[in-house]
Amino acid sequence: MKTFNTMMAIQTSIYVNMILFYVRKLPFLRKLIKESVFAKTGLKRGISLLVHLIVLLGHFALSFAYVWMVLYLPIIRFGHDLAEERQLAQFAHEFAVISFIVAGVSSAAILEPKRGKYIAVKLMRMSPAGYMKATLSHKYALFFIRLLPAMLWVGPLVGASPWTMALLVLTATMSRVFWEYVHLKWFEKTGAVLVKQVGLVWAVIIIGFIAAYLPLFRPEVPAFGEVVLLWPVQCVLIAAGFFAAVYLARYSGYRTAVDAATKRDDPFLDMRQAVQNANQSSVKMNESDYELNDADSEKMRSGNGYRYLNGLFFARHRKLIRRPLNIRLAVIGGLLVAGLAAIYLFGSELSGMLPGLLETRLPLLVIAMFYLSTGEKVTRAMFYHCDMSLLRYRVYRNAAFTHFLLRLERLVVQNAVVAAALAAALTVVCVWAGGAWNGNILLIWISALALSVFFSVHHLFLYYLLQPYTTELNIRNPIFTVANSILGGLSGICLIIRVPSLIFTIVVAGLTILYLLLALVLVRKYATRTFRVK
Amino acid sequence: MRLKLEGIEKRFDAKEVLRGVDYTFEQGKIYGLLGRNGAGKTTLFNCLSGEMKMDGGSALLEDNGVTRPLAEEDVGYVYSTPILPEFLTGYEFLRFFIDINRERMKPDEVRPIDDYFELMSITREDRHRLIKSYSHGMKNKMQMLLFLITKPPVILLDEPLTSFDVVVALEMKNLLRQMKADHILIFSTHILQLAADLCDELVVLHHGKLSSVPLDLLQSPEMEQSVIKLLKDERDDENL
Repeated sequence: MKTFNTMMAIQTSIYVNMILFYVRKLPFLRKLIKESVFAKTGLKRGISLLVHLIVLLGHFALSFAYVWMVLYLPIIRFGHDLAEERQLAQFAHEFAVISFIVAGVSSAAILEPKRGKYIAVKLMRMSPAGYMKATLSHKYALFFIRLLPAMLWVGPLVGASPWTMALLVLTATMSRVFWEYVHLKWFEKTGAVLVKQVGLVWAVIIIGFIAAYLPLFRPEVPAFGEVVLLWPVQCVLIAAGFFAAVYLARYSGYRTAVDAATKRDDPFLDMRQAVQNANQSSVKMNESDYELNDADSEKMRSGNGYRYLNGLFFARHRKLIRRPLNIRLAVIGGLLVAGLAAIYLFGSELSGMLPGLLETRLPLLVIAMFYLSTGEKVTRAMFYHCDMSLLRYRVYRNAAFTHFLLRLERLVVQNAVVAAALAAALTVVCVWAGGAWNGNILLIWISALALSVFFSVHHLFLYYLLQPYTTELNIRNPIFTVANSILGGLSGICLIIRVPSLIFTIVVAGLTILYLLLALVLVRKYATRTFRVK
Repeated sequence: MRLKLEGIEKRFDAKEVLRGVDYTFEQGKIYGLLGRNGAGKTTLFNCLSGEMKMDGGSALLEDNGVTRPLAEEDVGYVYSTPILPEFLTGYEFLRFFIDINRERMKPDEVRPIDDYFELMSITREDRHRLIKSYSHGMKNKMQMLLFLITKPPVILLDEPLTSFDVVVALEMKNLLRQMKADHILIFSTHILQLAADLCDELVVLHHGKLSSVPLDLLQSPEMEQSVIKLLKDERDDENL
């Protein structure tokens, strides 16, 4: 418990200092809050309590969202004609597959590589056993506490008594503890860290979600997960969890397990270095990546000034910048295959839904492009490899608008490729589902491309206006985070709204043009002052 | 050419760092700026280079009898650790740098890129290597090269020479001596010997004000003691 308290104290102390630091940057508040505030531990303890409270509320909110949106909503949406006891069976099935199996494989803490683990054990020299036991107890105590209210609340809706729900949550918690044991044993036997095997984990996630929802669409598929409602099964799982908990509490080899999850074993590293390494590895380059091919060298010869610099930057960091792009194209490819498979399986139902989707559900593109557009990775690379040094030169800062335009051009092209791929994939799905070519498909293309411009502008605009990175790439400017979250929230709203496609396209195109103009004006006016190393 | 500082003030919240800095620096001399850690040397440099706004006072540049406020582009700032874009080769960086400064240079001043490298005795092979692979000394040479191109009247050097090997340090010293004819050179340092060896004048920043150390003291054996006495707080004395 003491170990855990120390960890939390450090974490909140960092957060609170950061919040105070950035709040003081806001006009008006700076005058109200003096620098001496950093030394007022009483006040800071108050704020940290508040932070804890908000984090806790966040946990509860997430649990409610999970139970409502992932477990319950699909049932009333697609299975409203199910009898009540079938609804409960389906609910238990989804819960069993996702929370017991999928999450058991994908999110075990025991061998999870984590920065906090590294800092605590490697840098602050906490005992690995103490740290791991504290983390695991906290994780599963919280798991139980936060899930319980959400489950009790949804219980009556699927016809389950509070007792049934509470037992279900307890069984889930204990089986997850058992999974920790399985991960550890697997590691001891094979030396492999299960959570790091990305391919396997994703396969389990995808298959798991299909298995969870399949009984809703194919009545002949049994909701086998309902076995977790049976008391013998519950007894076995709870006993297994109990056994695992005792085993983990007595386990003596945590050092090896923690070492496997925190590879960088260097006693001379300080904390900043550790954080820095974690972030900088995301923008790491190898010497050989810097070599230019002949075509590039030829192209460079003609450039001048900032165009020359920009050309060299993108040519030398091609691998780094293309990586997120390739991942997104792969995701779109995967979605295309999944879409075609869905049509193959549920052809008639989907074909019936399609015209409706095309008429009013284009707003879904917003959330798709929010996640698919690249920007964060690219601006981070720009900062770390180029701007961090060049921003020291006034002449470079003064030309912010010039390089903003050059970079915007690049980013727009890159995101337009993603948008085009997405639009093409949707077109193929529509045609495959038997929907003829119609105006709505054209609107998909226009909206997707406009959104790609919108998000490109957004990422670069915030980078130039707020410059969120520090030289260690660690602390983000909260204003930046808030601005991004607001956009994320707005995109999230697009999940549920229905707008005629033509109106939606016009609005998106209009907003994109407005945002672009706003960005151009503001960057031109302020970036020479705001775009700097903090 | 002279740089006149008049009553420069700078405070951070309640903490007054610069409390009316007055001094006149002249072309043709190398000035050593001494001060304890936290005395405000870097703050003063940041105020002069325009990185920070001063709270009061002014910095004026007097050239050929005309006095005008010191502008940002009049000042070249050499950082203690050279900061250069590592993904470029030395040659590429210089080409880019000349490009973006071209409009501020007189046409007859622009020389072929290789000439600049010759000036710094950077080999042909090194010019086309990535800056990433340069040694500390080489990076410093690159940074100094930039001032040979833009020729700012005032050059501020923050803790230079401290991490050089003897050969590079000597090269840099000679370079600074060559440059002083056309520039006002001020460098901050902790190292008294270096200051005594290289500087024509020694200035001390203490309690937010600048004062000069008499020239004859600079050469005398008691210099070290006197400067330390100057920099020490009364509070420290009590502690002793």
